[in-house]
Amino acid sequence: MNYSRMIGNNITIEAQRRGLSLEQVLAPLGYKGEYLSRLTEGRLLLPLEEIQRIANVLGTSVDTLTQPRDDQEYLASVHKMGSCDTLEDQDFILDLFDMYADLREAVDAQDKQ
Amino acid sequence: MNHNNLPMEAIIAIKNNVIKARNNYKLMNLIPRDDIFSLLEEECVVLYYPLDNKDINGMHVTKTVGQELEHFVYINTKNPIEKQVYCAAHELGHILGLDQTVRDEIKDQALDSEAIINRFAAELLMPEEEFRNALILKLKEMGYEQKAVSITMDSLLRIVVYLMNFFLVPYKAIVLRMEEMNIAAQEVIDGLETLESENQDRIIAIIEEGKFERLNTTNERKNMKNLTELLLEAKEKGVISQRKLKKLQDIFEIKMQDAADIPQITKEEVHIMI
Repeated sequence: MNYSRMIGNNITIEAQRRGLSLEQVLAPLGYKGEYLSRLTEGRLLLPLEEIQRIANVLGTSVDTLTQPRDDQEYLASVHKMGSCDTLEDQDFILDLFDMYADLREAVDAQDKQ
Repeated sequence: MNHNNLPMEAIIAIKNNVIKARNNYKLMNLIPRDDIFSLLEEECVVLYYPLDNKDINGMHVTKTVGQELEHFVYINTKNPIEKQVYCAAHELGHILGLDQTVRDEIKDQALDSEAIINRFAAELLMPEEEFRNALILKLKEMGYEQKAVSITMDSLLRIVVYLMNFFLVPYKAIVLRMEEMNIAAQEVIDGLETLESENQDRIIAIIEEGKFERLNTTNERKNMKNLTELLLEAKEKGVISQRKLKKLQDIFEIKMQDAADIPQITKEEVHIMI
């Protein structure tokens, strides 16, 4: 799993554990709409200071948000029909989705220029 | 095991939402079969890709594209086409937010999402009247004219396979539909469920004997919405690296040609007679 996706998933998991929505955690830090979604999708590369700010709001440590967890926690974070035992398959699919979304954004951005 | 765990008002709400969806999509065919993929593609980006892990049928996530949140659905094309069809209908239900709609309509927030979505998929792919008619027709063809009949499990298995082919849905979906519609007693449903897990070879033999050529076949399709066009456009605009382009071409087995490489048809004039 890539680093950004792991951070996004860790933030989501920690927020859920506290019974908080992502908006409740991230909106006070200025993450809204598109940026909030990108962060939780793992498509926003956060500097360490930002991770620290989020950890503070959650009342946790930077280590908690930057350390990989058990695969099962990440597997449970995506809706699937059927079962998926390995993170490898899930990541492969999510990587393709990300590549496609990035590509469309790059083409659209070029059109607007 | 009884799967009928939805209250009647929830079932009615699901049926009404299926009618709404049919009207919205202007769906003329009451039995959508693989037309379901076109409906799904209207709502989201669908990734068709064969993964060796057949336990994973599909996946649904939302992703930001530009400033919009879009739905992305994955379908495992290593699985038989009937499983892909059912998966597409199931994910369509999630995208349409049918679970929340039904919970709100009947004011019961405790209803299980997956139960609602699975029932939506069943109602969309196998409408009750069409299901009953297909069953009656097959029974008549087999020589059973009465309303209540006693048949062997093997004959029932043949009927299940016939209905799988007719609606292009998996074995489990047909058995569950029979249960939902109270077509057979619980022990018969349980027997059919056991047969699937313990006698897969017999089911495959019936599929082969019946020449149901679409069943139990995979297409191993590899595609995403307009991917080739998107890659060509990205290449032309210089917004994709060679490495990324090659990676995606390899993954999806896409052969791309520059316009200059495509052989031109002769410009010489030819005569035709009308």
